[in-house]
Amino acid sequence: MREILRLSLILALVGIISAALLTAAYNVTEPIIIERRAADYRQALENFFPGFASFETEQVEEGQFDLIYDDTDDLMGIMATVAVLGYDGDITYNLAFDDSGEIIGINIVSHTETPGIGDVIERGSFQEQFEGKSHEDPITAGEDVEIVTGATVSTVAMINSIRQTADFVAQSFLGIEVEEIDFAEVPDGTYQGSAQGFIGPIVVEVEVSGGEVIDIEVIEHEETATYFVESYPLIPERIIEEQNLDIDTQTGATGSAEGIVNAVENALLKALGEDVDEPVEEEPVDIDLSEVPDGTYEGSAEGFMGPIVVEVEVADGEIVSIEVLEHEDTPEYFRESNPLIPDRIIDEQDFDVDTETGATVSAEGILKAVLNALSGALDNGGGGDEN
Amino acid sequence: MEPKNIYLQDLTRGLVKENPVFVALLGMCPLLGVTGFLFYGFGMGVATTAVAFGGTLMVSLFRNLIPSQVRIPIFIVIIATLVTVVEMSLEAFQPELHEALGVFVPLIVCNCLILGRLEAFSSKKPVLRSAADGIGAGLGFTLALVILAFVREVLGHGSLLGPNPDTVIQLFGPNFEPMTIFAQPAGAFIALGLLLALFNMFTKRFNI
Repeated sequence: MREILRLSLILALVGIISAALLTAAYNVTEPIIIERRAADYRQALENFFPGFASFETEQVEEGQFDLIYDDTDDLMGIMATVAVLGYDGDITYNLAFDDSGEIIGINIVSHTETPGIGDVIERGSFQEQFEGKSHEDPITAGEDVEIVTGATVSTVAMINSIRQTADFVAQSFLGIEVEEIDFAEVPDGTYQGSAQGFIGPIVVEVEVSGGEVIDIEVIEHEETATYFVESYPLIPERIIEEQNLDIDTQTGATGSAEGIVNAVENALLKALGEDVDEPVEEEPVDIDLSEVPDGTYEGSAEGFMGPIVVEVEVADGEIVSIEVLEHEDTPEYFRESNPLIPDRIIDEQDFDVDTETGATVSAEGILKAVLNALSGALDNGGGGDEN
Repeated sequence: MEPKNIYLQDLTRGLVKENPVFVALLGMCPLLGVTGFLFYGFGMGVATTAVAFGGTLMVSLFRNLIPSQVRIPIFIVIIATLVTVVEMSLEAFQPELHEALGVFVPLIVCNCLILGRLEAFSSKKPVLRSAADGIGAGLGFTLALVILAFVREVLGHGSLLGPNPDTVIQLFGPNFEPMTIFAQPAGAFIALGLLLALFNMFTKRFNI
């Protein structure tokens, strides 16, 4: 018993000495640490809000928001410090807004994304596309901002988080009402709507009854099936459960999830009699190759990162060669679709070819460019290019 | 043997002959975690050496007062205290390094290299010899970190003294495509394996 007491006392003594040492070290270093952090942050603020005089911090669930004032106490803007789950741990970043809710710039505070892949979020070319955007812009991958191929998870996470933060700032600090659909105002009925998914348009049918969305069904989509299951039926279930479109769309197929949400939104907006911007339903193009006069035709269509321009040579009612003249897609991925897709079209002499490759969007782009070239040839009354 | 040589022996033993990494394979976790850049590897080495030195010094000073039944918890408390002091100092004076090393600084507590030296050496030997031994083990660890970090930074980033843009030296010009694998954890394993093989080859050949 005495022995145990002796050992305990010695351990307690060691603990007390340790605590005393740590307290001393803490007292020496803490003021320096706090001062340095404040200086770092002021530096970041100075970059976005030159000449600011003071700021006021508001800590909420969404993150930390600093209201920045100039020397006459006018609001200059807002600095948000937000964390979002990236591919590998939290990405913490600052988002600077001016007093109308427009994004001035982004500053990545810390992240643990894969070096050489996910760290593209630090690059200017990724960050600059958000500048000047606000809660009024869609800030949606594939619409007004682009993801970075190969780092889809990191960049989509950033895009979604930036959109939510922009909406939040506008609503909570600038007193701007962000338009939201009130489900209760939608008359009972079944409505169709469409929106761009990750690869092609997604068409949904939404059933509304008693002011609530009771059923959502995807009627058409072109997404890759193995990814699409990650978002469907999960996303419709979430919308029905929460009776709100402001749901978490981060799934294994976030692009598709966003597409579904936007399609539902469009369906409801149409039900309320508002104009919506839907992807044009593409008529299945049927070109009779035998009607296309011999010649070489150029056509273009949107690929993954930019336009794809192709040159199609037709002889004796058959496509004899397809060459991609220009494209802006990532070469490593584009290889998966070129020359595979041109070869398939030439082999089958038909446009109903399988476009599911390692770069499906590029593949679709090539196919559409070829179709555009040939329909152009027909529209010009067979004029075509003489060379 | 002359006493002067004993200290030197204690100091140098950890460098090559009983190198904590290349021979004893201790402290692998920070070794693989922080060696992406030379600067980080070196910083980690210095932090570990400081803790090893302080720990061996304290333990050998009080070795006759520490009851053997509770020596391990006491060792751990001593190490943890030193590590926390080191961490706070890093955050105050080397914020960039502190940020980069992240969780690996607090993890120095469970680096078996330090506990191993305390248990095997400092708890039995006089103060000066223990201190020399602690510094030696720390320097041996630093040496391994620096070599591995050098290989990884050159191959994985094509640079030296990065990632700070003020000091970084790009070695191979703008068209160099770095072997990103070496910047990632998997590449750390590969590089470490190759280094171990080289080390064994040399020690066998020259009979060190």
